[in-house]
Amino acid sequence: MSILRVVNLSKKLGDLQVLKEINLEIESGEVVAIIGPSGSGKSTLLRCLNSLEVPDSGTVYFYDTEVNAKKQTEAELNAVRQNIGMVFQHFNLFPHLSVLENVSIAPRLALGQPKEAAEKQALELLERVGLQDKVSAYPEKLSGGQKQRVAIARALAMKPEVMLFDEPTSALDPEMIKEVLMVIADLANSGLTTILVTHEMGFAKEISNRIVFLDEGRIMEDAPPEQFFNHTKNERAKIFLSKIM
Amino acid sequence: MHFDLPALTSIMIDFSRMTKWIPTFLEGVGVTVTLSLITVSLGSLLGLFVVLLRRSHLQWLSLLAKIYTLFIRGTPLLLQLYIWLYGLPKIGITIPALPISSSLFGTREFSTAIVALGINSSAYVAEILRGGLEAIDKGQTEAARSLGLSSKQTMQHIIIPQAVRVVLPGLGNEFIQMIKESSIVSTVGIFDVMYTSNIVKAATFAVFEPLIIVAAIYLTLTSVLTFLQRKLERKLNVDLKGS
Repeated sequence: MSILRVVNLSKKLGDLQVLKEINLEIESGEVVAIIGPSGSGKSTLLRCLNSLEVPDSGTVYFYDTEVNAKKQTEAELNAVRQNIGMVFQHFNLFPHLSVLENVSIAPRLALGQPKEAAEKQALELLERVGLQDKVSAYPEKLSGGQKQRVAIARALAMKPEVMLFDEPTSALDPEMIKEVLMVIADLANSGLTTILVTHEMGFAKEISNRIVFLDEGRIMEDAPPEQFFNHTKNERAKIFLSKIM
Repeated sequence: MHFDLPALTSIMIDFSRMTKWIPTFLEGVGVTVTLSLITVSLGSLLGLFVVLLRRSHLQWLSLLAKIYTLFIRGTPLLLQLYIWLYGLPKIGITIPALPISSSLFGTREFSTAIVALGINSSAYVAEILRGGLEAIDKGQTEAARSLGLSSKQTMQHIIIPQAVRVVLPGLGNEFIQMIKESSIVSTVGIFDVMYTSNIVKAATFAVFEPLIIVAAIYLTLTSVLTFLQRKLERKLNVDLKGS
């Protein structure tokens, strides 16, 4: 069974039809890069997967559970979201909490983990993203790259089955992009199901086993990276690639 | 132009007559501070409730909160006090005196003033709180909810701790404002600081001296509160490490 399944999803934001009849299935263990021009609906699609955006029509399934903030009870929705980690373009760390608290708060509150266990796990995760020396720092003292790595650790603390990355390096200074991409590559290589919206084509090509190309709210191509980057027959994809490669 | 010297000396200001009235002034301070404290506390609780209504998804609840705020902020506090004290009893709505035997606090006027001022304060506090909540970036809620926290946990652990820091100056100002504005209760016979100037004036025939003393008292109260407010803000800034 697919871990995530999108069926006939359409979504308007204001007057703009952002997504049109999207169908997509993600299997467990896949690393999927969603790419496409600005405004093509990539982020909106990603945000529909954990119901930060609710589709106007169509359905998102996590296994066989419909994910919909308007139809599910809050408890049902929270249970699904606990299995879907998300990393945002602008980090969204909690500024009033230390790095350790940022990473340990969700397991404590949502899963009722004791403080000690949650902090022990947070330490391990911070070590994994190379920030063990920033444990007691507050977000404002961190660089962009460090913030994003904390945000990744924070999402991992819930032991999600899927990770969603929404342009995780777009707000970073160039010299910090690599440290974040390395962490994401490490996760993807470990077998964690990963869905990544990105403008980093080289990286998408390198780590993903599937490219979903979105343009004007439709999936124009869905192919392995080698095929997409070298042999796409889709005209839109050709134009897009000629502009960025 | 000429100066009438004897007339000038006859209006010389003389504080020596005031010393034996110090206890009266202090009693007034007690009433003013007590009234303002209770009022702002009540106002904050009610204000929080009004904000919740205002942010409700149910349209009519939100509208109700808007009308409440419009009415309270759009009419004078003195008028609201008169309505509670003299108007509403005509249709059977009376605020009973607090069950304490005190000529200062145990009167119907005092308890009514608490209600009138508290409700007045709640509308302003509600606006302050609303501003504080809206100042917190939407990404904070999204991050918390995407981790699987409930909306209640998100409010309690993520949004409110940050909003507190934003609203604190406004709430402090509201308290300082209330210290001064509560002086209107002297018009209905409550023994606050302002009222003590009437008592002393009547007993000593001194007009200016009690007014100067009352002014000094208000200025001291508001200055001390401003100082405490700054200190608390600085402490919270350190605790929260900014955002």
